[in-house]
Amino acid sequence: MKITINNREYDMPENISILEAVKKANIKIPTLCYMEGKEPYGGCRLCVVEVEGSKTLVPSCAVKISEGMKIKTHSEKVRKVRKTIMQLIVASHGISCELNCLTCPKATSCELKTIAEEIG
Amino acid sequence: MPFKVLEGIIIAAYAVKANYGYIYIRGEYSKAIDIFEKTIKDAYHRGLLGKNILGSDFSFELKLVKGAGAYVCGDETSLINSIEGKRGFSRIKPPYPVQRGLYDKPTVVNNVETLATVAEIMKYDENIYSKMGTEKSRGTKLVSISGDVKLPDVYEIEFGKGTLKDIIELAGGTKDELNFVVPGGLATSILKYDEIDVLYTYEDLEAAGSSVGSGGMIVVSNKHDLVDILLNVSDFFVKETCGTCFPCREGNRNIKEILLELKKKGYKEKYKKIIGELREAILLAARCGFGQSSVNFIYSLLDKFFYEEVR
Repeated sequence: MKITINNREYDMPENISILEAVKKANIKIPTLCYMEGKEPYGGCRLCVVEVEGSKTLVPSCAVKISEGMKIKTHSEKVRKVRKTIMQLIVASHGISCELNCLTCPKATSCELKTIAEEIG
Repeated sequence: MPFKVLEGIIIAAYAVKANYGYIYIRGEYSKAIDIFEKTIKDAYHRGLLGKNILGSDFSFELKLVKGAGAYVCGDETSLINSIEGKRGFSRIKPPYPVQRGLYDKPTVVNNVETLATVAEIMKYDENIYSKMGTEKSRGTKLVSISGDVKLPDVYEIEFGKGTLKDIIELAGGTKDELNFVVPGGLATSILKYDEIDVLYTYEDLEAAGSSVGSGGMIVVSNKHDLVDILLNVSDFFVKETCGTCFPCREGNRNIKEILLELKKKGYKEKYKKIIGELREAILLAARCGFGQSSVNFIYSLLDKFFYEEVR
């Protein structure tokens, strides 16, 4: 199946999600609620991508690729929305003077922190 | 009316060869539930439902399900979850209900207004609705007008025959001076007092930046405090969000925080940027239609009444 990711054409196997296809193309998309082998949940919305012809952004973990699909994983729109969502996630994380990344024992193995740094 | 809906359900079932159907009514609507319970009982008694309807080889069972009153259960996938006895929140689409819906079987979900219309269309050889309305908005719409009008009620409006202003006139006019109109429920953008000269059709309302929505029109006079209205609506969405996806859950919560600050300290320029960003994220990335439309009202009201004052 032929699809286009970020203006480059790829030949992908059928019946895989956009996220899997993007991974095969060695492009990284941040995810939090996605877990390989489990049904996608679509809660964190960080993996959203732009698909030509779709009014809204689509969650790449939950949508399967289709013939001729044109995907943009890091367009300006996508990055802006992703950043806002990440800000919302971090804002709801209960960070305070007493409890923050400096005092948290999980700081070195924290998925949230890694992705927050990635998105910026 | 219940018979028209019942007829529509049976016709729809016959068309898609479905043998099981459910009618889902919110638990609060006890009157509608009483009426429809009786309707279903009578229909079974007369052989209009059940095995071999009126001696034909078509069988159809209809069951009434009472909802527990969550707003999000108006979304088709949430409604399906609710019927299955699960928590009422949306499912990921695709698969769409027509592919895999109730109990993982292909399912058609329709609104009662649509079903009642189906019954009406099937009654005549020629489709009477095709002659009504405009090219893009055919037929009629049941508009439920509430708020500051003298005769709040449900009115059947033909598309393209009148403006929003005419519809308000039909409902007896406004009680005090008109401030704004919500054309289609809290999920649609507001139209200001000087913007209501717009024809009531899908295309004209869309061009005006709003939409027909659910047809639940709310008329608001200038006797109400705008910030209180904003907080009330925001509170509703914070309470009713199912909480599955971040943009809708946290976005709406943060919008409420901003509005509380607005009430305390007055309007600030920075709110526009923050709410604009939140709106974009929710609009583009929320998981269901409930989330995507949850900021329309608040953003349009702020845009039309607060931002302009500053400009």
